[in-house]
Amino acid sequence: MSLARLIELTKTYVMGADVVVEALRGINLSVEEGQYLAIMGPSGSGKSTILNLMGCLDRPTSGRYILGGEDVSDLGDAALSEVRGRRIGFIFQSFNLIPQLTALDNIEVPLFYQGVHRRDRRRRSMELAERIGLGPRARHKPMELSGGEQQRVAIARALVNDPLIILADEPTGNLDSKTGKEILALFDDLSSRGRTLIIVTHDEAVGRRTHGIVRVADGNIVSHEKN
Amino acid sequence: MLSLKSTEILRLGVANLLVHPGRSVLTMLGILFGVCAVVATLAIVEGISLKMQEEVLKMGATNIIVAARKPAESQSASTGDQGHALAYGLTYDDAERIQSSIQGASVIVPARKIPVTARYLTRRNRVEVFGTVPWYTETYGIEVTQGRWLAPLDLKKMDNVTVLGSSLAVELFPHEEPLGKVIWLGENAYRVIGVLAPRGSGSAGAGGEDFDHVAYIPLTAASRRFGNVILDRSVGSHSFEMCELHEITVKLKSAEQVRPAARIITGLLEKFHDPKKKDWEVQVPLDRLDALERTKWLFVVLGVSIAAISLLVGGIGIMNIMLASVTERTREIGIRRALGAKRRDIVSQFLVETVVLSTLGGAIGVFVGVLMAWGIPWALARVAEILKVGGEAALSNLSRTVVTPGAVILALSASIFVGIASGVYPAYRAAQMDPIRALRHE
Repeated sequence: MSLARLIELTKTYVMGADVVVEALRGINLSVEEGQYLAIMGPSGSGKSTILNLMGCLDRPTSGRYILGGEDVSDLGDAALSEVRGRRIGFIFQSFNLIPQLTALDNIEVPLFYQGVHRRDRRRRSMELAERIGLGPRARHKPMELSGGEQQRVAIARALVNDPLIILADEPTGNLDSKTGKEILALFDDLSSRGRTLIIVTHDEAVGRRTHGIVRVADGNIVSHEKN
Repeated sequence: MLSLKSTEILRLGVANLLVHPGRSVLTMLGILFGVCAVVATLAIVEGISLKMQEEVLKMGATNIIVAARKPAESQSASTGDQGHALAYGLTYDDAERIQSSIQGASVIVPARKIPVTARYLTRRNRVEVFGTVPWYTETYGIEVTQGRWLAPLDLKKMDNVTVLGSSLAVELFPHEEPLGKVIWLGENAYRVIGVLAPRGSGSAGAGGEDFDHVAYIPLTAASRRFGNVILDRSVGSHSFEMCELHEITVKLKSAEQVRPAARIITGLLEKFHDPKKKDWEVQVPLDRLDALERTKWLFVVLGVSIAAISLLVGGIGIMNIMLASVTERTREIGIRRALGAKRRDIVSQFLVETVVLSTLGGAIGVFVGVLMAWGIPWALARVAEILKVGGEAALSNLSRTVVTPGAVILALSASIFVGIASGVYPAYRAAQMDPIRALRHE
């Protein structure tokens, strides 16, 4: 059974009285456990919309989204928040760390909303900070960290709730190529440990490191290549 | 209801407020001043009220004062009509009737008041001669500083002895020792046997009587020497009056007996006095306490309303800052929502911030308000000293302020309420944000 299945998924945005944007026109995609997929396509092709729907940040206009055996297409706002907090790990292009929190506190945010005790949160975040090689800089605030370090914190945060699936949106887009490679090496490592990863990217070199590339154009999946 | 332990949310709120400590302090100020105003106003009102209560209690909470009043239509009858003396007021019969009808009255004090000129050597002074009985002191706490008070024997012998009020004693005897001296009260000479401690003027509801400018003499002596007819020449034209007793004070054993007794006395007087020419009045100090209580609430409501405006302004200030803060932290809200925060988590996060701000502002406001309540009487005293204002009477009502627990609780709950009220809208705005758009917000 697939870990995540998108069935005939559509998404239309009503922008005005008679302006309707069809962002997705019936997507079918199946993600197996431990798969490492890249979603590629030009801007406006709908790849971010796919990621938002897979991340339960948005609901499809029609079609089904089955995540971990549960149909989450019609869940309410609170239930979707719960799903995001427990089953999804997000990594963003612009890191999206909370500026007033230290790296450790940032890593703990998902656990905070699951009501995990402070001591357990701290133990888990320290463990992850160690694993991503943050070391003594874990008590610094994002402003005091380099881009690479910030993205490592974001990766640790995406792992902290032990999610079913990790969704990364252009994770190397704001990094220089050397740092980008380090981050990608971290992704390879996660994949080799059995994590399920979906990565949205423009970069063919990034796509080649994955198990397969899903190409999107005009709200449709145009090809699904295996590497 | 909250999905997180409240201490966790509280910690988060405080941490967020500490990110901009200066802004937080400024936001707090509105509430601080409002609460400070509430506490100080209530303390002043309470102080004035207590002071007035004390003055009423000076008249005795268990007392009923039956006073003689000149009937209203008497003014025209008395002026110019010199042959006809106006007869009015209470009689010895009234005193006896009251004595026999009221059970549980411990003391009944009849008294006469006669305006005369007091003379000692060349010094003269308009005073009120107060003919009374030795047990007058049991009803009114009177303190003798020199000599003694009237004795039963003085009453029996109708002796020409007098006890002087404190200010009268000073005016007649600025340099000499008053005890044993003989003064003239009207046509007769009296020996001074005692001087009283100052009793103060009953400015609050005691009819503006000056208790210190009085010469007390035995009641028997008063009716013998002055007769029942009083010639009053004080206002140019003179008038005759006939009045046996000006005042009868009835002291009861407990406050509960006061009102029933007052009804009985009123009934008695209605029966034996001309109903068309009401020449008496029953005063119950206890009733004045009630009236005082009502007046006090009026001032409390007034003061609190004014302070409420300040709290309202403070609340609007908090709301304004929070709305700005919500916009500024749009991205953070998006991040938290993406990482699993529910709408109500966001609501509670922002609500906690406003409530912490307003409660802290309220707490500091209470502290400053208490300091102000404590400082106002002191400052007024200093001002009076510097300006050499003798208007102690005007300031004396502000000479004490009292902070009650009720005022503190009211102020604190008002500030918590303002925190919630001003936080609801910004928190709602924050919670309604679309997480995707919030994440893209620059």
